[in-house]
Amino acid sequence: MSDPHFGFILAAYLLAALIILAMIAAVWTDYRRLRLALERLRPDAGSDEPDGRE
Amino acid sequence: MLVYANPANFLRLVERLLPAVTLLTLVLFGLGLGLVFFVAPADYQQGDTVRIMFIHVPAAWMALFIYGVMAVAALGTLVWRHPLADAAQKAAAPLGAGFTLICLATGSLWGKPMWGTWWVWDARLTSVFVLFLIYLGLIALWQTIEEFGLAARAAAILTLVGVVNLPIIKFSVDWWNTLHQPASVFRLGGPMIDASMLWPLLVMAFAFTSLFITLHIMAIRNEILRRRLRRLSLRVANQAELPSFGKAAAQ
Repeated sequence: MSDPHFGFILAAYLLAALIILAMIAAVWTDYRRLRLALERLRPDAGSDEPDGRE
Repeated sequence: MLVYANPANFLRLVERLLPAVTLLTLVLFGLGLGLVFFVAPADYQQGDTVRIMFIHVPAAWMALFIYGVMAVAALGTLVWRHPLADAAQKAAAPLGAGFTLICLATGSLWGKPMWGTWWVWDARLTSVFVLFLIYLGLIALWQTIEEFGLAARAAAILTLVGVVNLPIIKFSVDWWNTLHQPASVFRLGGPMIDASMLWPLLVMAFAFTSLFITLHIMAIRNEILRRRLRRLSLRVANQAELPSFGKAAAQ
């Protein structure tokens, strides 16, 4: 790619990748944190037991 | 839908669905990026800078689509009182903000070499920026109000008020004289762009949609676990307080 605006194209894709990775990381780390907290309270709490609405 | 109103059923569904949608997302992104960089031609005016459009346009579509999903979830909270509607709405807001940020940032990075400016306050750009602010407002609302039911109702009402912005975004390029170009795919006369660019764009749009579905079901699962954690914490706290309360009552 010999476009004079190569830097803008690269920056756009890198920025999009960064935001997407941040969203994935946020959802995944939240899940890990919740699972660990639930396991500390009760070992089987993270399983798919019947659950109601609060 | 009613079967999955039960959070336990929904968690079981997520366990089954998640590997498939994750794989689909990876395949679609691989295919889409391959088409964008090795098949789609450079534009005769924009050159290779047109390749920014293959992430900018799907991100813009997702910004609107996710708000639509949130509006349906808001109706689910207020009208049908679906037990997962508020969780779906809360889980979608940060994802909507993320896709809108991608849209704004990549649009700005395309605008500088093509328009000669990073930003103009025209109707399309401004209305999308307002959408971004609405997403941030909804996230802040969920963080601010402690009582879950109250936060859900307040967020649902704000979401439904914000729906008025969607047609403004869509038709801003027709109603006002904007620097932003009019629609070239979703228009009455059919798409205006060549198939060699349309197909990579559509595959990238499916990839973005699949990514949203993957992250959304994961985030809804987190909301269900968060409620379970809150309920268990309260139960443990109550059990810890009961003996001392009994002793005090006996004295």
